[in-house]
Amino acid sequence: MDAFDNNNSIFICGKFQCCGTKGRQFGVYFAGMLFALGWWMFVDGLSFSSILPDRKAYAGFEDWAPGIVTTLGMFIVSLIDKEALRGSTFDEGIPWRARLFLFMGFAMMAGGFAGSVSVLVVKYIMHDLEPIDSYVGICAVVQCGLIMLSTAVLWISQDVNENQLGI
Amino acid sequence: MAGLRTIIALAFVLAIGFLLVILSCALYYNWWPLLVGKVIKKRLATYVLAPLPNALCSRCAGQDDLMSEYNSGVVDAGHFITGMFIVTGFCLPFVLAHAEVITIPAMIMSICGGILVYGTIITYTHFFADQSDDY
Repeated sequence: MDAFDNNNSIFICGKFQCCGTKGRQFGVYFAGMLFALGWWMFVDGLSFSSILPDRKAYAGFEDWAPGIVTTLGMFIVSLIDKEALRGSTFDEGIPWRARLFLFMGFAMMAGGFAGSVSVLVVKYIMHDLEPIDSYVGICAVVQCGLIMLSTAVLWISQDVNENQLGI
Repeated sequence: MAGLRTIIALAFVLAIGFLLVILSCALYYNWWPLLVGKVIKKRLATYVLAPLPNALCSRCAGQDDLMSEYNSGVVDAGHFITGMFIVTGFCLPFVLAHAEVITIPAMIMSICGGILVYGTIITYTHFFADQSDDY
């Protein structure tokens, strides 16, 4: 019917199956590293901007919000059972609801990323600030990108093993 | 196999790693007394916590599935949290150095000590797991 029904991954590069459980372990470790790196990047931006001698922009809640929304979206996407998406369960309503929640999760992730970009543009770039003053905004964009990358890595590495078990 | 010599060498490396971390705080103690004092508590806590999620989650997952499936999400959660802890151990001194709370040499010493301590923990866990597989 649609892309969920065949056994392929939704990511194009989900073809590699040479690495078994070791590859899955490494992928999950790597996803956790990317996630922590994203948040540490943001903390670095906040702490670095707070010690600037003459700073013109003050970080508020609007800088935190995109990262939080992206993280919530990542939790939603990661908590969905991948088998429920394929429609192999008996209940007819479950795949529909699972896909709705998957859509919500991806929409929150994309919305968080778009929000970080818009905060960077509206709050920092449009006020003609120095690049060192808009470091927080750049860090928020990098943070959202890293969290999205972490979600992709987690999905791929969990999908590799599932395909192997299915064969 | 983990011989006696390996264990002694690992203990020495672990001691050198801790020495580096403590020195990175102690040498600059005069400059930033309180903040660096906080750093050492956080970093030691990070080291002690790093191998915990794997142990807990593999124990939790082992109770459930008798089919020896690896498909358990609990094990993945443990690996995910371990990866977060590892990056935290390396990013914390970097962020502190970037915010000019600690100096660059202190950051380098701290990261080197972190690499030594993590390497020791990983190597020890590796040998330990190999031994328990045989029996």
